[in-house]
Amino acid sequence: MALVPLIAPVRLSSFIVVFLIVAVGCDRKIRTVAPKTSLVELPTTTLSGPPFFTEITDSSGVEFQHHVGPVGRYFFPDIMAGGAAFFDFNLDGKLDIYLVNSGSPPSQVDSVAMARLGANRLFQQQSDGRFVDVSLASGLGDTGYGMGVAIGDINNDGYPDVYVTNYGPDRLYLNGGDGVFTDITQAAGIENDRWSASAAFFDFDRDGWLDLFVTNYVDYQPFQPCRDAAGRLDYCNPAVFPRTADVLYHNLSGNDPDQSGGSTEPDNAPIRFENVSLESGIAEKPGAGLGVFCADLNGDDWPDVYVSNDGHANHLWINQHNGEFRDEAILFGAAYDAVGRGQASMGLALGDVNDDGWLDLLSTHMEGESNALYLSSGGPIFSESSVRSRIAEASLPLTGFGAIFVDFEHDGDLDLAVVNGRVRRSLAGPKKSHTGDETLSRSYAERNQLLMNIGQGVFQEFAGADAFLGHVEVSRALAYGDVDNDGDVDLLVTNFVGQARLFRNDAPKKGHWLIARVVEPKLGGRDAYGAQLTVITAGKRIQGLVSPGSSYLASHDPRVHFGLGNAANVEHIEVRWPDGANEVFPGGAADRFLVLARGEGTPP
Amino acid sequence: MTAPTPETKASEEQKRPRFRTVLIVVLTIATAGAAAWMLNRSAGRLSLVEQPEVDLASSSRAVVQTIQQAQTRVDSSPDDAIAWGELGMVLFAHQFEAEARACFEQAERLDPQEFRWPYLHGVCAAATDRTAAADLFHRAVTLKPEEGIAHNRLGEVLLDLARYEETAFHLEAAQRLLPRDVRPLLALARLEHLRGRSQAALTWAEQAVRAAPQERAVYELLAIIHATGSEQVAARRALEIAQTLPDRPLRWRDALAAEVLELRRDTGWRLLQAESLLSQRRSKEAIDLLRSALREDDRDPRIYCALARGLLVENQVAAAAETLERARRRHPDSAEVRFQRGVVHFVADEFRQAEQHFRRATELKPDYALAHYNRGLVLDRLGEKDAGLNAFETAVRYRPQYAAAHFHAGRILLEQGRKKQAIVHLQAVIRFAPADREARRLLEQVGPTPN
Repeated sequence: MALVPLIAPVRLSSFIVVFLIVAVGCDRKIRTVAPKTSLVELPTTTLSGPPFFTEITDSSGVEFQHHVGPVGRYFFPDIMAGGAAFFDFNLDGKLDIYLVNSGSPPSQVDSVAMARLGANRLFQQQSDGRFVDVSLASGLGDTGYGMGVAIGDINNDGYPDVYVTNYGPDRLYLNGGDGVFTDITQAAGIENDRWSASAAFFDFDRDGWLDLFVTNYVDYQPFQPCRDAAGRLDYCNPAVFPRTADVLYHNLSGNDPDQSGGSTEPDNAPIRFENVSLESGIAEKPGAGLGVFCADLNGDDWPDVYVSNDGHANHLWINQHNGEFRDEAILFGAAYDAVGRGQASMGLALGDVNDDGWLDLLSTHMEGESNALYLSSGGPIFSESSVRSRIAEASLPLTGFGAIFVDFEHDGDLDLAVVNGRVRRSLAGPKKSHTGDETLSRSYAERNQLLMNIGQGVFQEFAGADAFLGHVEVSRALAYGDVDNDGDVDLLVTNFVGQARLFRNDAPKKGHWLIARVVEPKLGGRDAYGAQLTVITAGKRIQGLVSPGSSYLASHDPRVHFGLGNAANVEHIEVRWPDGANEVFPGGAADRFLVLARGEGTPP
Repeated sequence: MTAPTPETKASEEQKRPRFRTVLIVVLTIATAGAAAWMLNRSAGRLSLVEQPEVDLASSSRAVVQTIQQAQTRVDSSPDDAIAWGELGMVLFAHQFEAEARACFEQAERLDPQEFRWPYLHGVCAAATDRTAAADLFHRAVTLKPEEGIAHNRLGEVLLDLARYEETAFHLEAAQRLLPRDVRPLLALARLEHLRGRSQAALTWAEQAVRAAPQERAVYELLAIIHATGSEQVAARRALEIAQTLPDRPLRWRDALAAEVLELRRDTGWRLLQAESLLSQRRSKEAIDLLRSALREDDRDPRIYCALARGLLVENQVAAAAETLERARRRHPDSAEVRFQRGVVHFVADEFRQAEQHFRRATELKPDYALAHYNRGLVLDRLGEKDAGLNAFETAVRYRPQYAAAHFHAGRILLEQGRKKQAIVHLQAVIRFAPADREARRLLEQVGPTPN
């Protein structure tokens, strides 16, 4: 075991990998005329119609500007941030908003003013639907170099707590229930000061206490200038840095040594997490992790973890039921694209887009790599179907980040929204004067996309006028939630060196809806992360999942939204709880909010 | 001489207008033909009178020089397809893709029989416009049907476009033309897998395994095909083999693309070449290359660091130190430069100075696992065991799979009699570096060993 004389050798950039090496020679003559075929016959690839969304950023009072340190330094984390969350921190039934800011690189924070500019913001929704900035009073104005956010109730008191991922030390904030959050990072045993990105809470050992998965990106060398072959300064290609391992934290709060079997009740005992990355196997496979969600993907009633890795095979960590995980992404067909290439995966969406009762996955990619739709086909094995679903063509020229599957117009199937923004400078954009935020961001700006599900997981892009599509910016996080409690799903978007934007869903509706909050009364009444719902209407079973952590650096409304199409009534609702137990709840009229509390239904 | 009779005159007068008409028609046709020929000949130039504008403001001197030379050749021979094509190649090599595409287009217009221009244009277009790339590769294979690599590229692009029958045709052609190349075999296996023909997919994948048993990608594909066919045992076996192989992109042969790469003159490329030379122990050549690169462009601290490493290999410790001192002045925020300075001091047995530089590197980049590790080694040498242990433990916090750091942490803990904690680290060594005998020996010393 000797001194390490060098950092990891310089890696071939993806540019070089495009074409490789040596000579070839052949002299056999062959025919060149090939038969021509097309895969599927589909109608025109774009849709138009009345707008879906109205921007309400200004009228809502959500004033948030993403700040980075001195522009033009091409500090890599700048272009990857920042996060957004919808959550109801004070349990008043109205969604509040948390937005993650960046600021100067950690070693460059030289003024209080810059630290304040780069602070995160908590906006509390008022009774009139407007938002008020309560960051200071709440204690959530984290001034770290922010990336993303995860929301989950870690102490089973019913109040959602906040985990902030940073370039630098992450932070864990405990919600006191009185509008004040306390930084318990150190006391809770959280120690992740690598460059982390998306994170998600889930209960991997099904003990009733939410554990935490954090993706770590790359081992970035700050201030290493990155240039393309032409010598133009730009944000770095992650392939030049070593990958890092993700982190799994086990919530030990239920392991009270005085109580055999542990407890799920909240008490005044300190919250403790243990880093179990090594024991669980998670640390064995470094990746350039950017996106994550947690859900039971193989139907064994234990939550698994899917991670999107930038430039490498994605990971599907299958829960082994004993605290260990095994990456089976390749065996499940969810590691690569349809032809076996690792792609620059960023954001993740999940939902049953083809109505087969199994979750499908979408991962967003760089320009030149279409977004990948991993479609299940009646089982847990996926096949990458972006071409067949018409997602490939729409996404090829764009660099996708946040993505969600939601039924926007209540026609009974899941649509797709994707926010985009380049990571490499557009050569068609402003070429020289990168002196201001606006000029800089314009070189990376791209339009966002709405793709409507026209049945069986085939999508058509919406090309009509729409506020959500009207801003050409460098968008990153995309979070959803019913912010005005009107039964449909609204959107929140963050933008690199730009405003965060709130969009209200005003789409003409084609059917009915249902929104369910699924809670565990014995766990402080917290949301039942990992619970799977099936709404049964006449002739249709619609799937839903309590899983707020997905997309990119984002956390969504934990309530589950269903578009019901023509069904004005629901026959019943089946809930599979995170520990595998089943319960059935009565149905009834559509177009309403429900609370499904464990124990109040009936056995199947 | 006979005087013309009035009849003859009349006859000649009748013929003159006919002759004039014929002459006018002939002249008109000739003029129109000439004009058409001229127009056709200059059509390329007319549609691209000017060369594409290339913004060289950020480029290094060597890159500017190379591109300008190619531009000058086009200026002096604007009708020369080769001059345009070569300008396209130089621009493509330096990532001016849009400008390169315009040049390839012009080259193809001037010489429509040349295979290289649509082919390279296709390579250039493939990343962002699969349909255009397919058309270009198709033109290329029409011009040179015996070029297997072009059939393969076309097949892969068509596969992306889900035009499966055409894909099969071109990949099979590529496979016939390049029988020992794994890439068409892999693509054929993927094609059949996508078509749901598992037995055919398996046959191609097995051929790919035979052709390239050291390539991870072939075993991974084999695993995917087995898994889809519910052959879980075979799938796991293939995956296990894959995981023992290097995780690298599939290498294949493309002479034309290699020619483009050869044209690169940018600093990043020189650095890659120098790294390759250093790995082949050709440090003198690497040093020459890096010195030349530094003279032209000193904006990248990695050039200094690579040069210092080369100098160290050549035992030129003072020169390495001097190089890094210049680097430190030029790039004061670079953690890597500090790290390398630490290495140079370590080699010179200057442990105290080495420790200072490694520490500074970790201040500049707190998650710098290698710097923490090296600092641990230095502190250990200085007899500062607790601080050394702390450094090793920090290294494994940032890189949990870092077997060497686990080993030293375990070793120091054992020396301190903290067996329980030592075992955790030593077991981690076995987990991440199963062949490590020293760790096994230490574990045997303390008692229970894994497996």
